[in-house]
Amino acid sequence: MAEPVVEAERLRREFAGRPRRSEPVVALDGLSLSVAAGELHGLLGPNGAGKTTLVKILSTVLLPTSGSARVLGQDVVGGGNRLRRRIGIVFGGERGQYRRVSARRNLLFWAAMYGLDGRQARRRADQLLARVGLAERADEPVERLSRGMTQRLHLARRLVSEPEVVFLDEPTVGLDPAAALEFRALVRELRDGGLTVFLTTHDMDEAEDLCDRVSVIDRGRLLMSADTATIGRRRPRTGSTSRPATSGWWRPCGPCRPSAG
Amino acid sequence: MAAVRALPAVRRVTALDVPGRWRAEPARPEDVGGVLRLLIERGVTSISTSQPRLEEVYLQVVGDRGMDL
Repeated sequence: MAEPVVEAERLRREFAGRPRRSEPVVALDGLSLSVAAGELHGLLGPNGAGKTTLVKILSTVLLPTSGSARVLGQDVVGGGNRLRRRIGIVFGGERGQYRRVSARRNLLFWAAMYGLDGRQARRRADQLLARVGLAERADEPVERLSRGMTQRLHLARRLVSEPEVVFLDEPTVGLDPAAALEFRALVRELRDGGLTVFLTTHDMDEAEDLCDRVSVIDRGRLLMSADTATIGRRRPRTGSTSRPATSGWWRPCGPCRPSAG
Repeated sequence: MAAVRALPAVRRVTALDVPGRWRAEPARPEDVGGVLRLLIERGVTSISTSQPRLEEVYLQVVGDRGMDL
């Protein structure tokens, strides 16, 4: 296995209960997880499982209550700005664009925020607009772009700093199937280009299609991790073809195996 | 199929859309061989095996909690 670039160890995150004096809500309950360099790792789980909390902690947006996490070898608590420059995060249904300004100007703005000079910024913006398939719409205001295009622009914005790890939190939520397909193709290209991608999704087809490895969490705990290569992608419909079903099958994690029934 | 269903190594047996076709899910990967042997002993003539799909794995480990939310 390649060197892990994301390592979470016994992460715990509590939120204050409501009303205030009630028991705290435990979003992550001692969760440990690792993602190898260059891996496209899918994180699955029901609503409220702790997926977004984990992504927020790993991307330095939120502090853990206890436990530790390192991304690219840096502690997410102490890594601060140095780490933030090396990672990108895209949320589904994100609204963090200047909608009356063109796609290009949005990217130029973010390039300036990352300290690129004018020429570098223009070159980077052009490269990214082409990469996400928006070169022909580059000078239109964002408000005229479709939701799928806007989401691709979000991704481009997060690539301005040339991150080594990208966190995608349900990035295709609300996209129509064609737009979702285009977005997935982009994500695959990023992985093929060597980027480590951490993707949360509710879409099993998306996870099966894209991910090298998946983890399932619930109630803030890891239930299982598996290579998608070991999970059957399509059940044979007819015939008597057989293949070994005993090798490399998934297994739930021992200590957190859900109780039967 | 009752005999297969009664095996501790079999988690579930379900009828497929095609008449006469069934699907047996072993409880553990290492149980597959035993289940196949039993099926052959009982005269089953056509058998295919496949690994679970991600959706099935997910539902197995998460259970029906997703329904509560």
